[in-house]
Amino acid sequence: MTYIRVALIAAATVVATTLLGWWSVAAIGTVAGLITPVGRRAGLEAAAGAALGWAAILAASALSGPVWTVAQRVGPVFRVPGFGFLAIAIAFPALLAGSAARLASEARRWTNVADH
Amino acid sequence: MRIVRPGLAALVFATLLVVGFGGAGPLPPIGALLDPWRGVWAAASAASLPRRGAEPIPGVTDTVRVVYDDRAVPHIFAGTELDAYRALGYVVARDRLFQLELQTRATAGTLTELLGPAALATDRSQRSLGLAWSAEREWAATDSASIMARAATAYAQGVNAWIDGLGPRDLPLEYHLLRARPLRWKPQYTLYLMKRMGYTLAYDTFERQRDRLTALIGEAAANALFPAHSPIQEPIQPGPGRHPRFDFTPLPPPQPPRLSRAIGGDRGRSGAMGEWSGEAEVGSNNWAVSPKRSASGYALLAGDPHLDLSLPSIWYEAHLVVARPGSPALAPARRGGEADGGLDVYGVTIPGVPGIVIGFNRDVAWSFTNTGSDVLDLYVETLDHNDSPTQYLLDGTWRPLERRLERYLGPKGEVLDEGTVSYTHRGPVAMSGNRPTSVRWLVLETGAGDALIQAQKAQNVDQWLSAMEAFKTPAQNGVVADRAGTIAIRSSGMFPIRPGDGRGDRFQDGTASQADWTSYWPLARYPFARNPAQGYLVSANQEPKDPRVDPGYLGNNWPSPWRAIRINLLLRHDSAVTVEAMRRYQTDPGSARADAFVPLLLEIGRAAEAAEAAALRQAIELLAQWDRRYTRDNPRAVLFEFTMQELQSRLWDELIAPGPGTARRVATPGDAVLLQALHDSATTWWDDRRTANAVETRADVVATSLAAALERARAAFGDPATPDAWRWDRAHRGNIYHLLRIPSFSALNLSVPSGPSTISPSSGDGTHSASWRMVVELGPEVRGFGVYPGGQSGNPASPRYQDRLPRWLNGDLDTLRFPRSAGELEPGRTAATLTLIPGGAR
Repeated sequence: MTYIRVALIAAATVVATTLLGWWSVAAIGTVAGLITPVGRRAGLEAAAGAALGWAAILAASALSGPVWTVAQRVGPVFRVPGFGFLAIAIAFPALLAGSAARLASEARRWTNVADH
Repeated sequence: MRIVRPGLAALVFATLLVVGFGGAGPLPPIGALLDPWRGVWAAASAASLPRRGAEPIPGVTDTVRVVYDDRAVPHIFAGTELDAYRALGYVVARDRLFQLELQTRATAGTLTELLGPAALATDRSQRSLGLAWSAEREWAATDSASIMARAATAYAQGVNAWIDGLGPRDLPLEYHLLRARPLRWKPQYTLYLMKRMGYTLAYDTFERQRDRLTALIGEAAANALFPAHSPIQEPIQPGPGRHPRFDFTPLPPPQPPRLSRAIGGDRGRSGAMGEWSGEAEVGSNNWAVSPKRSASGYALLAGDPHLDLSLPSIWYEAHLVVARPGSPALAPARRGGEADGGLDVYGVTIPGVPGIVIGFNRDVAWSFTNTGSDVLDLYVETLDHNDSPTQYLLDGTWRPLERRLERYLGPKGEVLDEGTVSYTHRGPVAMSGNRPTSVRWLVLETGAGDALIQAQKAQNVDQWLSAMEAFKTPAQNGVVADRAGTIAIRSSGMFPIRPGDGRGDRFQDGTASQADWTSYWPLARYPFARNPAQGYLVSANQEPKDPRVDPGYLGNNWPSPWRAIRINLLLRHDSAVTVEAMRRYQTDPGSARADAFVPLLLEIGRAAEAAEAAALRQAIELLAQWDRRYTRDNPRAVLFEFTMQELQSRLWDELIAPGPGTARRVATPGDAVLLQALHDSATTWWDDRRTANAVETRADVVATSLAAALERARAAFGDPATPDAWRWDRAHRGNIYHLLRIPSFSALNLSVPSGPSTISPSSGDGTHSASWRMVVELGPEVRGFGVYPGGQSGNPASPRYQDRLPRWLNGDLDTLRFPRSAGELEPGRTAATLTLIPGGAR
């Protein structure tokens, strides 16, 4: 089930990023945190799904253009090497979705505790 | 732990949102930047041209077909001339949008709106020149029915059509990094660009240096060291008499300095210690060979304009074809600016210019070098108040100054600063030292007009020359050849006639209108030659007309004509010139400068008695081994260049102005004057004033310079006996910076096959060189070859960004495809097609 959830989050990330923009990753993470069964690692799953989603978009872009060249050109602008810039591009959605999911999951748990 | 982990998650989440939306410090908002769909990564998918596309363009009257060849050059087939310019605007914007905006803002002095306060000083300086003020004024006065106005308007429609259709994935990388959106293009920005070219090619305020020089060494010496006529004559207009001619006369001795005027003021660009040469050893070349001296029996033409190199390049290659609708044959070109006339022209345009600047059509080829005439004078004005003036004195009457409030905005529209630029009837007022001066500058008064647009339609040399009569500034030496075998050259532009002795290199009295220019040279007096007996014509920024033919003042401090001498030498000894030879000559490593100096240095050095006799002997021995060529692996060029530097610093000690900080020469005479001094052992200039108890002779200075050069070369590059230690390309590298000088977008530390004063010169920091090399053979079918350092795309991620660089570095030229119709281009050589259709009424 974990793999399926990660795949679903990745697919949702691809669609939402394409249609809405980068910030939708935070929304997807939040939703993932809210709907993931309690006890599961919602943050990790969301992080993995979001990273996979953006990696998929980059991979698709690489089919039509030189993504690696972009990384090599732009990375040094921010004083990071090309591979570092690529890594940041994957880490950013992972951290964003993961932290959002973790927060949502905590909020849900606290709400449940309060209900009981 | 129950609180720590959620707390950490909250911190990470909040931080990412803040940095994602708003950025942090120098970081732009990284969310939008890293967005794999809309952020910088989109540059990858925009790197290559889509194989096929169709776009509606407002104003287009009929379908325009654009075929990109395998060198990514757009061949534009349009029904009307204006449609061709619309399409050109569109394809240029598609490839070079950021460049279009940056160069416009650089001219307008609005870089702060894009780059922030860091650009404030640059903007202030630019606005004080009045270029945008002048462009707007000129545009307002332009007849809207003129071909220039209509072409610029059509071009703007094309640029804006691209901007309007711009998706987030098409946005150039630079806009992502700067968090900016593209500026909509106005037709008058074409004039901004022309003004910018005027600034690059015809802005020379030598008066300020000249004033300080006169204070340092006296009028006569300043005249001799920075003469109005070059002491070496190899004019553009050949004959009469033999050339090159060395008009060497004894240099007048320096006078004691008048320190009050010698100190302060601005410092010139030249004279910095460490430059390869005293003068700006940069410049452009063009030449034409008549059929009687070409192997094929057809006229040949070569051109290589040298400019500051950049990525993307200043040039963009394009082919414009306009046939009459429904007619497979091209209509003959018509003079008079008919917008539906025929056109079939290939070459390079500058982004922003509707048309081809340098290139060829089915009948004619042409290229330019800068004339370098003096079209800027400084007038010392008397103002009612120096701090906040409102009036200036002219002929005893106070006249109101035109005052313009200049407001500098930041990227968010915030006001960063304000200032006022005042104008007299001559031009903007600026301070020269402590004196208010107004600038009379031809570039602010006129421009290129429609000359370039008309010239590209010429069917023969005479039509081309006739079209170029409208070209006012910056003056250009236009060489032209046609299929009938005619070759010609003319310095086109307006050349002011001044009162008094006619010279424009000294401050003028601004209080008298009598000091104003009286008129301009008549066309008949322009430097000109047509089908000369020698069978070829050459220009390389040298003084265009021999003063024995016309002593009139055109300018001053002309570059030494080493390149012209070398090209003339090569052509004189080649009675069967080929396209391949023309290509080879463009990167010829030989140096007329070295040919002139080295034998003399060796002769004087060998006769000298030096304290460091061993070092001198070795320096002479090593220099004598030099073949006087600046090939990449040449092991001796570096010694010669160091010797020249040492010689200049020792000889021209009188030109070092006293003052705070590091002492620098006010200006450095050209190498022609250095050679003049070297031929005169008796001149007092050889004495180094800094050594109080000794009187140095020419032999002393040459010997010391040779020995010191050897030591420097050893210190910098090691033992000369070590293979490759002194390779020329270890000492001299080329650097092509991105427009924003971002290193990872630039091509740096390049091994370039050139040196000071070679035909393809390269300046000390290697940022200036041949911006376009072209050779054209004007046979029954015109054949063109060319290359520029860079590529057609402005997208740093594109394979077309700098794909031409290796061939440029090797001195190779590409074959330029010149199809008569869209179908004539072989399918294998077609990279992409684009159809522009009427519509999109925006």
